Formats: sequence, C-alpha cells, structure tokens
Amino acid sequence: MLKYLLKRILFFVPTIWIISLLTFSLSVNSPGDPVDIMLNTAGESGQNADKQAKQKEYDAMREKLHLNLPVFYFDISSLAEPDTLYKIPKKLHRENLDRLVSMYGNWPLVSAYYHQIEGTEKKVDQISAPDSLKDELIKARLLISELYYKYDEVVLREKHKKISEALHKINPSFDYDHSLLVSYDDMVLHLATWKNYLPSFHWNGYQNQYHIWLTNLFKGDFGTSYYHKRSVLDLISERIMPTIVYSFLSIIIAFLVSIPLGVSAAVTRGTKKEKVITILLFILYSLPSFWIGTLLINYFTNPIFFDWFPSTGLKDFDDQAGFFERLSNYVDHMVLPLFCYTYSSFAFISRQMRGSMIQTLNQDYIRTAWAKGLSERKIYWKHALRNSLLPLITLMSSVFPSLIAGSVVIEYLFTLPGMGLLAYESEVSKDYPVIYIIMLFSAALTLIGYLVADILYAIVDPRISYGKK
Amino acid sequence: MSENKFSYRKHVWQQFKKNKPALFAFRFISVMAVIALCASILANEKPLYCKYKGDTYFPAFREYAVDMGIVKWPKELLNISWKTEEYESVVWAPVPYGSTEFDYMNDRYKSPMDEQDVKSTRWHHWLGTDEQGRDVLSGVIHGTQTAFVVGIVSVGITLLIGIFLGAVAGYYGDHDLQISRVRFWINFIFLPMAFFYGFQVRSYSISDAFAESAYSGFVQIFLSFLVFLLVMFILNVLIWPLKKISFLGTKVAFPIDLIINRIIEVVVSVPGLILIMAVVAVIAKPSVFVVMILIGLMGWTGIARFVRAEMLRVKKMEFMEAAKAFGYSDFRSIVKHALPNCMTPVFIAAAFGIAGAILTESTLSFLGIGVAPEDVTWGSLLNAGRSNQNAHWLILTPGIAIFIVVTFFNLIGEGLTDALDPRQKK
Repeated sequence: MLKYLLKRILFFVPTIWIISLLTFSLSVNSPGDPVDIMLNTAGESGQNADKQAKQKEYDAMREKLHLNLPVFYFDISSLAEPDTLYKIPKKLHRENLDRLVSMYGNWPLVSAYYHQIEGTEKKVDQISAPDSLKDELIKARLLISELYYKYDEVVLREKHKKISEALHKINPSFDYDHSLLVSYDDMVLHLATWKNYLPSFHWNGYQNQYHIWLTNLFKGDFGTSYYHKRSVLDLISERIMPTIVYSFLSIIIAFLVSIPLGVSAAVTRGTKKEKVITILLFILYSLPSFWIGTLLINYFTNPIFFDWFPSTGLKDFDDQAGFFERLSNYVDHMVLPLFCYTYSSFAFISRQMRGSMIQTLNQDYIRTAWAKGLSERKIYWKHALRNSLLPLITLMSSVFPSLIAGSVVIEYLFTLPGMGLLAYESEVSKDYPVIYIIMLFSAALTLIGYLVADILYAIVDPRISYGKK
Repeated sequence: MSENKFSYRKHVWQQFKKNKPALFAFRFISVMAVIALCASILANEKPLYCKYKGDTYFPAFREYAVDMGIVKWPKELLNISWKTEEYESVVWAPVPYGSTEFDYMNDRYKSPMDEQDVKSTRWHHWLGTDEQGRDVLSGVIHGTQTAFVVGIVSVGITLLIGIFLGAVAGYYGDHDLQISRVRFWINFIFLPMAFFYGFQVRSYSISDAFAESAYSGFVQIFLSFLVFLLVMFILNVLIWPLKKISFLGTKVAFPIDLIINRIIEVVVSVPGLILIMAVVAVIAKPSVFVVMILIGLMGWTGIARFVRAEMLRVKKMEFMEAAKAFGYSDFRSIVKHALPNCMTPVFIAAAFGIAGAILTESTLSFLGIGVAPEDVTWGSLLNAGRSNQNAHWLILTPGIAIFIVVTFFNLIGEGLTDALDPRQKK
C-alpha cells in the first residue's frame, strides 16, 4: 500500500513538471514585451530628454522580471545565433536581430549593423534643425527608430534612402547615413547562411528565467498581473472563494440528486417510468449550459417575462441587512448558477450509478439477502448501495476538471467574481501571467483530484491490489 | 456459401436500426449534413444563376470553386454589389442573404414578426436579424457548416493520434519493443537535433505562414514534422552498422507504454477549455480553424485509452499468434489484423467526440474566444443575442441547433454502443 502510494506520487512529479514546462514555454512565446507592458510604455517612442531615464527604468524593470537572463538551462540553436542574444534589452529588437541572423547568418556583422543604428540614432538625436526643417528631422528620427523592427531588404533599402534624403535636406554634409549603409551592405554581402544549418548546444547554468520562475512558484511568488499590476497569487486567492463554494455545493447537490435517481432507475429498470426518466436525463445532459444559462437569464431575470431572480453577482445587500436577509439574498443569487452547474451532471452521475447498481444487484450476496427475507428497502439502500458507490469515487475526480472548465462559462454568464471569470477576463485583456497560472493551477488541482481518488480507492476497496500483477 | 454470408457491417446496421431514436437521429443528422454541404447554395447574397451584361453566371456555385482555390472571380464580377445590380434574368438562393452580409435597412435586431424594410416577402428575414442587420437564418445555415467541419476535422485528428498511440502502447507494452542499445541512445541523444532541423531551422517559415493564415501555418508545421521524421530516419539508417558490435547491439526494452501513458496523463490533467484558452491567447490571429485543430490535439486521450485496452485484449488472441508465426511484420500484424478488431469503442467514441467537439467550439465562440470576425458559428450568434435581452430569436434558434446536433450525435453514439457492443447492454 505504502509502496503504491509512493509510486503514485512519484509519477505525479514528472507530470506536473512537464505541465510547468508547457506553461513556461507558452508564457515565453506570448506576444508583446513584458517590460513595456509592466511599465505601460508599449508603443511609445520617447523624446530626447527623458530617453535616458526611460532606458534606466526599462532596464530596472527588466532586471526585476529576470528577463536579463537566458531563458532555459541550455540552448539548442544554430551556429549563427549568438548565445548572448538575450543581453539585448528590448524584446522586439532581439526578435528582429534574430531574424536578421537567420537571413544572413553572420552575427558579428549583424551586431555591427545594430550598433550602427544605435550610433546613428544617438547622433541624429543630438543635431538640431531650423524651424523650417523640423519636420524633416522628426521624419528622420522616426525612420531610424523604425529600422529596429524591419528585416526585409527592399523595405530597409527604401528606408535608408529616405533617411539620407531627410538628413541631407537638413545639412548636406551629414554622413551618418553613409556608415549605416556600409554596415548594412557588409551584412548583406557577407552571407554565412550555412551557419544556420549547424546546430550548437550551449549550457547556461542555473541563472536562467525558468529556474527562477520555478523556484519562485515554490516560494509562492506567481508573478505579477499585466492588467491589475498586482501579484497573481493575491488575485487568485481573492477570486477562489466563490468558485470553491459554488463547485462544492454543486457537487453535493449533484450527488444528492443523482444517487437516488440512479438507484431508483436501477431498481425499476425496464419500466416505462424509468425509460421516460432516462430520456429526460439524456436530453438534460445534451443541453449546452451556456445556452440554458442565457435562456434562464433572459426569461427569469427579465421584467418582461419573469423577474424572479437577480441576474448577476454574488450578493446585493447593504451592511445593515440582518442575517436572514443576507442568507436569502445569497441563496437568491445562487439558484440559477447552481442549476446551470448541476443539471448536466445529473444525467452523467445517475447513469453511472444505475450501471454500477445493476451490476451489484446481480451479485450473489444480494440473492442471499433476498433469500434471507430482508426487506426491499434494506437490500437496496443498505447492502447494494454501499458497494455500488465505489465507482463514484472515480467519477468525483473526473467531475473536478469539468467543473473548472464549466466555471468559466457560468461565471461569465452570471458575472460571479470567481476563478472562471478571472480566466475569461485575463484572456480578453491578454493578461498572460494570470492565464498561465490559472492553467497550471487547474492542472495541479485536477492531478490532485486523481491522486486523492486513487488513494481513496485503495483505502475503501481492499480487493484492489496494487502490487505487481 | 456467398448467399448466406454473414456480413458484420450488415449485422451492425440491423442492430442499429432496432434503436428507433438512434435511427431517427442518424437520418436527421444526414439531412443536416446535406444542409452543411449546400450552405452556400441555400443561403447566399450572390444569385444562384444570373444573366449579367449578356453573360451567364452561376455565382453561388462558383463560390465553392473559388473557396477551394481552383478558379478566381472574373474581373467583371470582382467588385460588384450583387444586390443592387441590374440583371437580365436572375435566380436568388432560397435565403438570399450571406451570413456576413449587413442589411443596413434592417439592422438593430429586427424580429421575425416585426415589419421589415424589404422589397417583398421573398426578402423577409425569416429568423430576424442581429445588431448589424445580418440574417439569422443564413447564419444558422452557415453555422451548420462550421459545426460539421469542426466535428469532422477535430475528431479526424483525434482518431489519427489516438489510434496510433493507443495501438502502439497496447501492442508493445513496456517490454515488447526491443531495440538495440545503440539505437536507443542515439535516438535519445539526437532527438534534439532532429527537432532543430525540423522546427528551429524552419521556425521563420512557420511563423510567417501563420501570420498569413492558420491553414498555411499548419501545412508548414506538418512539413517540419516530415523533416523531423526524415532526419530521424537517416540517423537510424546510418547507425545500422554499429549494431554489429555486440555490446551496442544488445537489445533493450523501450518502455513505450509508460511514456504514452505519461503523455495521456499530461493532456488529461489540464481542463481542455482552459488549455485552449491559454494557447489561443498566444496566437496572433485565432480562428475557428485553429480552435478545431486544438480541440483535436487535446481530445485524443479517450480514444487512445480505448484502443490500448482493446489491443491488450486482442494481442493475446490466437490469430495474433498465428500472424506472428507466419512471420508477419509488426506493422502488418497491427494494421491488418489487430486494429480492425479494436475499432468497436473507436466508432462509439468518435460519435460522442463529434458532439463534444461541437459543444466545446460553440462554448468558445460563445465566449468570443478564438473566433475571427468573419467566422459565423452558432456560438457567436448566441453571444450576439446576449447583448440584447429582448432579441430572443437570436438566442433560441442557434441554441436549438446546437442542442439538436449534440443530442443526436450522442444518440447515435448510444445506438452504436448497443449495436456494436452488446455486452455493454444489460
């Protein structure tokens, strides 16, 4: 038993580790520069005066988010790609450089070109122009800043031409554009694309983003939300209560309703009544919950039809409300969402219950019980029920993930401030850290559900042996 | 002998026919499949047939060919507004509205019962319109097409992956896949290299293709996968002489079953909806096409488990021993002899899988996740109805359509269970 448990937990570790890798690789590949998003500077192009201050702020935030480190323990890249690319601060610059390397393969020259852009930008920032030519200067600066994000040769040549034109209008003796052009030609002419086809392996050590991300997870630091600018852990712990309460209540209700339903269906199997109930349950099972939810909101919270229930939220009482007022208010808000949560599991669980009950009723010991002259009630509800409850343990563990997924829809429909709504909101506002942590979280919860189910099974059913078959 | 030949297929069909609800569902779904296939003929803003400036055209039919990329629109038809042109003679589609066509005369939620600003009853919006004046009936018809495509594509992917992995895991188990030591280690070490040539070298072809369209993106990924396999194949050919060295050539068991089971556990443990949400968030241009592929990539675990379990059963049967005794290759034994006997649960799971895929997709498009503006799905229609509580026609029809398709595919699954697997029926 203990050996089985240990083995089971040991298997749990690689699974969750792979999921963490998956989550991390998604978060690394999410669009946008995290630093810019955190600083709210995405899309801004700074003016001269505060450019340096901005750069400092940027670097500080980058360090804080550990983005100045390599991504993973090791890199498998091409020979052309430098292993120090992560040191380039701006993510978009980095991506563009990576693209240029993949096109030309010659990192030293690509890097020289990049520095040339930087140098030109700095020089052009310092020059001043008479009022009549201010527009030209602004145009030139804009064009130069665009060079960082372009890789297509035709586009780049066009831009270079325009930059020289603008600069020469200001002062014909400027030759910053010349060195830029030379370094660009250098890069384009000295092709080393073969380097892209040779793999290279590079070990980065423990100081990498993944390592820090993982150790932070263990420390309880789940990162910061892009949108709320708050710790993800805080957000989740704020939002988790309603989801837990609703899920828990709906599981209880679902089992309380479905177990008797399943038992009575098994007992009265073959009769017309049972067939009708089965068909009804089947229909319930196929009804999409988001449709039922929409219909319920439309017809039962609408003054035109029946204004019986509040449509959104958890509660709407004021502070002076008494206990019973509060309670009834909570219950009022719960009726429709709980119905949406539970109705589809009625059919699912009671079907399983019916199946396992029928199996039990065919057992010898039930026949013995009949022969002993036990009452019908005792046989069904005491002897048979207990043994047919076992498969429900497995069911419980599979209800769990579907509840998490269901909570997204139902909390969205009824605007319940829970985890599901948080997932939806972060999806819409592209709040990547929150989405990925919720994904990791729900995966961990599901795995724990399976683990608990297996352990419960082992405890409850001594027939199951977990040794080597 | 041939006259009384027992045909398994016939037998199953006879058994299936006994289940009246399932038979009804099957017939109804067939009708819906025809609707899905003919969606562009049934509901289209372009005429079915028209005589325009002396030439005869069949624009609605031509649309199919254009969509498939066989032909292009002729220049004179490229930029014309179909509704306002003067035709010498014209036949309109039964529902003369496209699913994304805006009828500005009848926008802002025109109810089917309302007075509508149309030329005649022929142009009436029989199921009303939405906020922008899109015809709901046309949307439902085109949504049927989307739903069927979603169901078929995602279950197709599910079947491919599920059957392959399930069969391999079940047939070989942890001990029966014997490979030489050198092959084991070389494959293990050079897996990253194959990955490098397949995906890293081609990473910009893939991302550029995705920026263009999801379809060409997946084509590029598929090509990358082929490159990956090719590199692995070449490596395995190259190391063949090394096997002659006795130490390197010793056979070791490759625990394929264990590995596939771990993969299944990983996929199962993340709730599908959340995983799709997380992946869609990263994709620059999500569309229904992307969503259906993701549903397929996430839904194969059930089928893999079923096939694996069946394979474990079939493997021990006598005819499999006979196949081995004849010296048939593993491939032939699996594909020709074992797999046909494992398909029972697969058919059933596929029927339920289509229902599930359609439900997942409509849930996502209801939430507005992963639908491009030009995609018309039942879920997105329903979502449009949510913003106006009084527009019940926007909620009822798409909802009923989803309900019917899901219920009927489930009923077919039930019927198949009874027909194929009588043991289940008690």
